[in-house]
Amino acid sequence: MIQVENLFYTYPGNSSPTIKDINVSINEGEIFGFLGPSGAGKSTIQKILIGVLKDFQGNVKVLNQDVSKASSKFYRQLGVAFETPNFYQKFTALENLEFFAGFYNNTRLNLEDLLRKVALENTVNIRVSNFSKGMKMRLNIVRAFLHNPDLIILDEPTSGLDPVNVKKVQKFILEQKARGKTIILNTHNMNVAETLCDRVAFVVEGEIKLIDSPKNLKEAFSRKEIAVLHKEEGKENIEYFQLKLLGQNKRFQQILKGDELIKIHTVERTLEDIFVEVTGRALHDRETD
Amino acid sequence: MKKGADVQTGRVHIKQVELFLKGDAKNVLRDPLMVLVLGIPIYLFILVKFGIPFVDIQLSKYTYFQLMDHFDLIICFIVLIVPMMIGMLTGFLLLDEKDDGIINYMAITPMKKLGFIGYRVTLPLIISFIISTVLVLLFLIGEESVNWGLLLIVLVVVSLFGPLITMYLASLCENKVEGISYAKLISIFSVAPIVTYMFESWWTGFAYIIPVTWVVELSYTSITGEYFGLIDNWAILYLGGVTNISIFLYFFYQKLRKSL
Repeated sequence: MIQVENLFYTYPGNSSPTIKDINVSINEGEIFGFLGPSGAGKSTIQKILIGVLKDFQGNVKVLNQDVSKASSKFYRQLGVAFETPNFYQKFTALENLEFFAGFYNNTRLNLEDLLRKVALENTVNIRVSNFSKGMKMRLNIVRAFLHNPDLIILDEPTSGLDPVNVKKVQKFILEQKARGKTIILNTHNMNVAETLCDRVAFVVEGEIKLIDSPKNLKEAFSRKEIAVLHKEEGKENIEYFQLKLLGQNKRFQQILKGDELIKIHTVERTLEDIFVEVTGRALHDRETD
Repeated sequence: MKKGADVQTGRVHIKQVELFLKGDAKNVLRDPLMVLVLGIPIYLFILVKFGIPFVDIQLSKYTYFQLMDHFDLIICFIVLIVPMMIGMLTGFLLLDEKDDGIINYMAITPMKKLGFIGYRVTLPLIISFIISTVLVLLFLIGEESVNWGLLLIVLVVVSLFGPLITMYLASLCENKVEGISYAKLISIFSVAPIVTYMFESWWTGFAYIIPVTWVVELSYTSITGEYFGLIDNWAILYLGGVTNISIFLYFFYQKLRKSL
């Protein structure tokens, strides 16, 4: 679906490239996430993939087309939700969707049905100027799918959403994946990436540091240890033990026999922990959802 | 087969224009400022038809100066104000679209950004031509001195002010508030032909830097058969006007492309 080889991009007026030697191949039907902090270059990669930034170096093929020569046919197969929702403020939600649907001949989905999927069914006749940020975001996501495209690119799709709506959006995206859509996400929300993505790429300072599935990453970077919380001389104490040869560990056995055990759990590492370890960078403006 | 495909493309095109026109109508009618601007041809008609005779009656009590003596020049300005008003409306629409990020979204639709800008600058040209023609007919039908052939050419040239103003506003301003201030500047430039109308001297030549001067003088000739200003040849006025407007159109078009 997407092949990127040796991609470099330098913004006009800059001396050094913003995107450096990116190589990635994304398969049909996959949910692929570009993860990284703000300013890492995710949006620049996205702009190249959708054919908006053209003066790049390297080979970029999207939907079997050289993206620098993206045709109208290309845009009929592509759906995009930009980070900032862009709608006619004086149109209602439905009027906006009907307007943008008018660009396409493709089989269209039922618009009111689409709005229902992201809990916007009661806002059909409300002008977008009266929408909250979260409502605009959900409308933005739905619009990317309204012409039934094959490839959908979503930039920070859960930004500004409350936890209930994050779940709804995640469910909607997974439903679309089940219909065979290829979906690319840009996000700095590692929970979203972990829930949705088949594979993720860690992007830092315009480079991809690593590409793998969240499951593989968690396995590979797991410390394979447990945490034991217990009481000792009236005080709570936590100790860590390697899983390997745990049964022979004398200290562990001593705690078990002590009858002051509070809880035992495996030490799970989040995708964010792994990101920090691999890239040496924190995701500063992490969302709370 | 090929013909069928062409017909289909044509249909899609018409369907999209229809879609845009409906959208524009909603955007204009839901904005009080736009509705006010849209009413300008009607205000102008009422003002000229009833306002000028009324003002003249009042003036006659104090002076011999009568606005009706300059009726033909006033009509020339009205012919010009219509495309300017339409250009301002579409300019404001474009500024709202720029402000709301709609233009960026158009880049990823099958129409692409350039296709949409093409629509945005063609629309004021066509609407300006239609409204100017209607107003000219309302005011001048039955007038013997009018050279209708030349006036038709004038109406085409004058309609170029629609896209010119649209691009002027959209390329120089970031949003509608800025656009309103820049729209006021247009009124200042529009007095240039009054200078060539009132004075006869070499320095009035500077007024020909402004496109309005050429067009108003050409309109005046087509309506009265007479000339004012430094140029007394309709062909030169026509060619000079088209060249002058084309230079400004090119300049603002390039600026608009860069700014979007």
